Amino acid sequence: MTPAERALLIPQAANALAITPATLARELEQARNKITRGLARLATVDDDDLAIATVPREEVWRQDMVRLYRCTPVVERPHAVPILITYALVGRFQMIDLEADRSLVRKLLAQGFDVYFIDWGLPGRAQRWLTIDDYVSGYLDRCVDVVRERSGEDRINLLGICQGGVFTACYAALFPAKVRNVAFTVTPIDFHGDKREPQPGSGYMNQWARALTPEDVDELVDIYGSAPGSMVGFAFLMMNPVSNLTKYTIDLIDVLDDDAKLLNFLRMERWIADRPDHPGEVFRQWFKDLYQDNKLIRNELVLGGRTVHLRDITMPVLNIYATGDTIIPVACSRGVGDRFGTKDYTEVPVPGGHIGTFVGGKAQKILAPTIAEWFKAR
Amino acid sequence: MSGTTNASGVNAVYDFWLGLLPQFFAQFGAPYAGIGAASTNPSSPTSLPFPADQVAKAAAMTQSALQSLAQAYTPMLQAAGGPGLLGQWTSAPPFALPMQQALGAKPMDLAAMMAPMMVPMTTMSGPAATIAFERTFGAVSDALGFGPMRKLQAAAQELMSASIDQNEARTRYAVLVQGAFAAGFDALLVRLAGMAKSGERVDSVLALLRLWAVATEEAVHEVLQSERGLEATVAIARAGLAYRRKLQSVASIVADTLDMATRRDLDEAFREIQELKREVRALRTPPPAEPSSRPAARKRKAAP
Repeated sequence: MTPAERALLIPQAANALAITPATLARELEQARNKITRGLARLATVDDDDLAIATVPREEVWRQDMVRLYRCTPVVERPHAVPILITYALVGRFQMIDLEADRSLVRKLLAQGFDVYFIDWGLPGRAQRWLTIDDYVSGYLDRCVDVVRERSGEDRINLLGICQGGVFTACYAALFPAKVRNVAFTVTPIDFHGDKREPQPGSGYMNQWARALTPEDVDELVDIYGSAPGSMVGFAFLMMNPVSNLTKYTIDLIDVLDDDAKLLNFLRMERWIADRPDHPGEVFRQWFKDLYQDNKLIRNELVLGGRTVHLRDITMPVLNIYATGDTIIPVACSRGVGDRFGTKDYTEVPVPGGHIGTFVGGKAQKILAPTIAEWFKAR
Repeated sequence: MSGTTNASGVNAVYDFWLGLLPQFFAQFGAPYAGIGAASTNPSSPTSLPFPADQVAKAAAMTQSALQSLAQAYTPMLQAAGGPGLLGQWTSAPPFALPMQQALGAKPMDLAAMMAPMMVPMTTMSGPAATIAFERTFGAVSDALGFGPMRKLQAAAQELMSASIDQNEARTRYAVLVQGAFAAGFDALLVRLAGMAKSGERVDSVLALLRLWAVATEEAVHEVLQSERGLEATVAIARAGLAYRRKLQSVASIVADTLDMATRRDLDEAFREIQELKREVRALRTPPPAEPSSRPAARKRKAAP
């Protein structure tokens, strides 16, 4: 639009404005009052108010920075086959139990399940050489064995989330004998799905990763060793730079005036800001083999000398994707059932975005009940 | 431990966004100085747990900005009404250039740290001067054992050059984002004109700001996901990597000179440790040749 065109349009646009000095004064006074009340409330917030992932649990295994936890069952006799939840490396596991009333873990416990989850911890400089295979055939396999041993079940249920879903898919393909059922949530299987079905505002990370050359990725890993958590977090936030400004300003006003919303907001912010460093070799594989070369769905991904064939996933598969997911575009998760070796494939959309799947009001009513019913039936 | 956070990165993200808030409001006509004063208000709670401390800062800045907006808008609305307000937005300072500065804050600081080492080179700048210096004093420096100093100066010069390249990449990116913000404002005008035709009215400044945010976010997405947007983003990443590579080169020369272990030495040690761990793992649990391989599990009576 030229300056002249803009100048012509301004009076027309201004006809939609019914803002007067009086309405302005009233509105901003209300906003200032809300902020004042919010600041007073913030001044009383303590660490207990902001605690996340507080579900009662015990550590049952540890190696390096990785911890395996068993959540304390809330029924006397939980279901025989436990669930092992595997979260991503790019964020912390606390998302699965952000708050007591927004907790996938607690909902599964309430459904009578025996729930374990992995905390990948905070990889440091020493972990820069860890590969996807080290996670899948190393830590994850050990965790699975510990859960099998403790439960007495030969095959257990796996629930993978996002990047953790990819690790889980690789595991289920490489170690099918240890997996009874596998569920994926917001998990990319076809990393080039967004090319088939591009959506504005979605899949920016996919596009950016493909815009890099393999040499760029090598250079990044060689220079940084591990991808700094702040860099990873920044990359996510820059997907929506305007929203990230309004949420700390004009959208904050209504949050400040509502105690429940304020605490929800603070807990979510605490989680968002806590980005672990990403081990360099995993980062290299993730970008080159998956984002760039899409090797998982092509059955070309090689881990520890073994090729991951999705056809080897012969156990029942539940695949849950978020209809408004902009981080993992819907087309990267949806419609991949024919790639697995199983005849028992279920695909379920949930409303909301990538993280909203776990904490959003509507999604909360679908996610845990769907997973619980699906596992119970198998 | 599960409760531990990645402390180094936790505040960095907030620092970045909060640093942009004054400029964010400035583009709508709120004076920068007033907002900055609020952010340093001594009554602002600074001993709160994260992120309440940061949110409190954001809230205080927002409150101050709203006050500034009220002061700026009231006479304008009295004098010129809605067109005056929208006109104010078109003439406000561009937002993306402060963003570019914020993007560059850390590397620029590093360049500033290197400045003292650059003095000999900057006083006789240019490749010709470097060659002249090298021809005149190179052999003497070598003879006196000052070889590393020459290397260091050369590396520092490359670092400065990389810093300039990085700033250029940032500027190109910022110009792109600035264009997206302008396109967002145009989209807002079109939207408002459409609303006016259909009889819809906006009677809230905050609602107007939210409409702006939606329009601008869409425009930013469109630009950043375009070919030129991706190119600019990749260029900024490459420039950042090149700068860091040069910085590491300087550090490596210093470490070698002082006989200190470098990052690469540590990495090699970590690599060996990781390889040994893999060997131990392979000894403990050889990869299953067949899907049916499984350890004997302890059976127990389980609930149905």
